[in-house]
Amino acid sequence: MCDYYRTLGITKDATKDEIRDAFFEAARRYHPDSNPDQETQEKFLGVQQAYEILIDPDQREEYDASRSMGVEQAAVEIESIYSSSVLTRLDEPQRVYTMVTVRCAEDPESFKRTPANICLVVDRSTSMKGDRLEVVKRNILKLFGHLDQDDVFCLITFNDRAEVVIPPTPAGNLLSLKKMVSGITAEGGTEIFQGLIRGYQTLSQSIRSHESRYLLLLTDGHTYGDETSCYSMARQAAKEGIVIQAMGIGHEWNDSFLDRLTGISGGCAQFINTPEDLHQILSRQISALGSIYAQQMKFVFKKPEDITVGTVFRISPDSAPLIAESPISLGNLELRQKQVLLFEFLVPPQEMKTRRVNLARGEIQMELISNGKHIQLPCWLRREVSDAPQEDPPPDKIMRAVSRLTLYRLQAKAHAALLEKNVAEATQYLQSLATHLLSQGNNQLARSVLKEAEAIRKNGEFSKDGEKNLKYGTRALMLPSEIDGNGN
Amino acid sequence: MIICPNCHHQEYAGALFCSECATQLVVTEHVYKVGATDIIGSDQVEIGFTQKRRVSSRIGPGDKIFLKILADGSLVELSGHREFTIGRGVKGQLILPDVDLESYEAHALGVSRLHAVIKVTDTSVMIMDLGSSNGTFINGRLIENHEESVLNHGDIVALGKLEFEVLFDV
Repeated sequence: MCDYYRTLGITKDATKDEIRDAFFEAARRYHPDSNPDQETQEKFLGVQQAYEILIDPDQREEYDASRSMGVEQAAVEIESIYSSSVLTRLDEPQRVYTMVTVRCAEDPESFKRTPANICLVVDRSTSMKGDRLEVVKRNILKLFGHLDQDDVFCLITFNDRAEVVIPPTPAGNLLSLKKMVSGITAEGGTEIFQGLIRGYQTLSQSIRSHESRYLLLLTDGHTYGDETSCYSMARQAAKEGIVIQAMGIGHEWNDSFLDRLTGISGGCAQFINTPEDLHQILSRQISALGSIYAQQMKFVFKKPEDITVGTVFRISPDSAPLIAESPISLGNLELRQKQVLLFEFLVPPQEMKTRRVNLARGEIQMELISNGKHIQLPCWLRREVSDAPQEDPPPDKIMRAVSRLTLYRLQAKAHAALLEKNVAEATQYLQSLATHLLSQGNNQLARSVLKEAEAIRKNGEFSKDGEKNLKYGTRALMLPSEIDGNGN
Repeated sequence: MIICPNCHHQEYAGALFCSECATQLVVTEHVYKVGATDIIGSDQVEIGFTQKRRVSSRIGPGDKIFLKILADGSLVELSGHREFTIGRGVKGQLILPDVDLESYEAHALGVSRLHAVIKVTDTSVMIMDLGSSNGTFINGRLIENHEESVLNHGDIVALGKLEFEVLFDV
């Protein structure tokens, strides 16, 4: 980070007049009219930037805050873009979209891997019987080969009770325990809390100080009555830096429950439709473990009472709805990776005297894996208010992301309409969705949407796998590979 | 407030897309949606280009595409976009097909609401049935659901029993 005070040759307690004088002095010296060479021109730009930041009390305060937080020590960058460059003064409420990108810029060469402590919690209720459980077992065995020597692995199964199948074991010793995995059988009900709490306790008791902890939950069903205890356990886990990831197999699992459960600790829930999905998602989870740069990342913020945060959606590295309240858990930041968050705000009418609107003001906190240091980066979301209407179109990235978010929501609306037994409305939403997917060239998903519209019209309900296919299909549209697509 | 031009739903100022039908509400260079096309009324039929001889039955760059409704000879132009959904609009239905055939007795002739989609590339025009109840036929031959079939100049397409001729004009 540049030292703006040094650029202008002033001290940290310089007054506004001193800043202005220093700027004019430096600008004269480096002005491009008298100094056409490249180097001086860059200096001139640097002086201008320093002046613009320091002369504005808010920006100066933010800059000072970031310096005192020791941001220089961390290779993390934060960038935010907005749906409009200024906020037009209106006497009615208006929407503002913001996309915040947290990027890890650490040099991968100099990065040292942190050992992982993984606890896999597997549902072995009756519904898992047969192929499902066999596929899971095969994948667990495959997993052994992907772990690092320093990793610790533990396997827990549950139905209405939990059982430790493999206690925490260094990865190198796992091969001798293969038969424990083959011995797992399916029977009984599904009480997710039983499995979760045992998994959490096991991870929590680990005495290794330098490791990243994961709880991976694999289930195919609903849990009844213990959701609240699951959530409060997840909050406790989040405090201790344990990230909960979930994989739902087939079409019967409770997606909104798992979305919320994983959202609490910054993890995410994924839909497993085929054995290949399971293999792919598990190996991605495991390979991600090795490249974690920072953990327990969260956005802690304050916002004015009259600003509403409608939605916070993470669109990278995975796409998942987040809980729109401070603090927002963001889980881990991986090397060479960025986290992208999309915020939807509702801003009240602006009075004549308002010059600037603070949407949310706070910091992104995280703990660096390499040295255990906690760092904080200021993240202030705000817009200047202007009396002239905004004419520039919103940035392409925002348009793409919000367009996909809108499609995801149409799917959710169809789902909600169907719950109310409103078949006609649900069909209409799906038809809208299909039309837009077709116009975006996504014929495959459009086809399954039309198929579902037809199924709803005929039977009044989604087909067997249809509902989750649509939900996770439209959600996947928001992933950066889709949004950044077409070379934009 | 912004009123969605497609479904008349009210959105807050600053909204980018209609939350009810996903229609884009702001003007950008990049359009994310296919808009509806104008239907040329039957009083404008006598353009006379159908007599024109074409060297090739395939489409070329810059060609215009018309659908000639056989029942009354009126022409529907497909222009401005690359994909057009065809079907019949129903009162109160939120989303209308890009090409609405309701005024040609589409309902009685067995056209579904979203019956088919016509896709235009630089070198070809394709049609795909969207799982309609009564099927799509090219020159009398039923085409597979959800599979693209090539359309040539002069092809007669039937959506259920509603027939039109596909015309490419240079």
